Amino acid sequence: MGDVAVFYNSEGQEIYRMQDGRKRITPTVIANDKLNAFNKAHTGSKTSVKSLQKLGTTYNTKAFSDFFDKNSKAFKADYIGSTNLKNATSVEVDGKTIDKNNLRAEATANTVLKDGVVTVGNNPATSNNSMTGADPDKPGNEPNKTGNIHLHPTEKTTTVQVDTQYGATVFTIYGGTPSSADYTEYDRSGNGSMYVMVDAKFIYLYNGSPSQTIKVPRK
Amino acid sequence: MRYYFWAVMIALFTSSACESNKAKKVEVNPSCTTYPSSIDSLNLKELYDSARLAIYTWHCDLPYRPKNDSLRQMKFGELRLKFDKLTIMHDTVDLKFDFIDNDKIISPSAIIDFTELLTGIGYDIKIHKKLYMRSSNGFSMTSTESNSRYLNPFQVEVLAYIGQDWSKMDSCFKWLAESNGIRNK
Repeated sequence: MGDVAVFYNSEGQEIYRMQDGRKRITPTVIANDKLNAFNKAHTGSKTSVKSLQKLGTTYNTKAFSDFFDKNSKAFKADYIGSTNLKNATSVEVDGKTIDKNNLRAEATANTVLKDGVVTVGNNPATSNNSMTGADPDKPGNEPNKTGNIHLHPTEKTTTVQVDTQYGATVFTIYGGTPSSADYTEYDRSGNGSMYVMVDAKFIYLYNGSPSQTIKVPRK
Repeated sequence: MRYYFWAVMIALFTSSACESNKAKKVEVNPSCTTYPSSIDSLNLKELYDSARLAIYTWHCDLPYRPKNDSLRQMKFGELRLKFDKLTIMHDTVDLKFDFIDNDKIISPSAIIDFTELLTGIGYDIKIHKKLYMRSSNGFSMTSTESNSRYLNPFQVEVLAYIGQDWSKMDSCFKWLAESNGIRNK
């Protein structure tokens, strides 16, 4: 960690960054009650990334990116929403016919908070084998659990046409942002740390308020 | 005198039959026919009712078992549907609702069976044609499947559910079904 350290306030606005010449962004969120201390610290002469990060919660974007690499192809999609794909006679993604067995599902895992850093937990990733949802409670409990991470298999808006002997069902899966159900989920189960959504291109840190979402490149 | 007797008998029979029919009718909960001001002012009552019916018939026979009360055994047809918002973009009007339990919005992850819900409907505002159903899980869908509830909400299994669980159904779902000619026998 520590490639480009970017600091945000709790509204998701960038307040400071320290470059070290590399590309990966490591975000740290500074709570409102620590903002004064943070502002004093980063203008001081002995400022270091580590000392500033100690004033907030840091998110391990390398671990989140690795989570995507490890799990984005791990779970087959048997469903889109509540529609079972078993009766599909053919499937097209953005107009191209594909083998339905190649559709991938969302996956989820716990995040844990340790020493001020949110990273991916030790419990195995799970899936509901749906392209469009995953139960965040399914990975179960573990020490220091603070929330969840999940991946979206589509990073841009994607059309999936599912043909059966009775006709066609066309799904438009919206990419590029957490879904409104993701924000609602934070309202149900969030406890302070931001939740994480990752797709092929970006990492999103979010809570129950869409305007406070922090978006950083995955690599 | 004889004519007078039969006239009274016919009047009494007709009156009794009417009373009997009235008793069979669902007592309408006023909240079912009270429309949000945005719907009322834009004259969208017909689409509002159509959307509620489509959402109920899509989900009605799915089990609803909340994680925080796993002993409860319900179906979505028993739950209240609450209007969330209306969005108009060009010729499309999007009506979004939520299923409600204990005054809280039901999210997929609050359900033991993790059920992804389709509680938004888009219509062409000019011709009142349904354009899509959408989910808060970030997708929308449309279907030409002949056996789909998207095209024909009153599929056999929906009618079976209504027949069996009429007494448990949400009062507005009952009213919507009845308004569309579906009655419990």
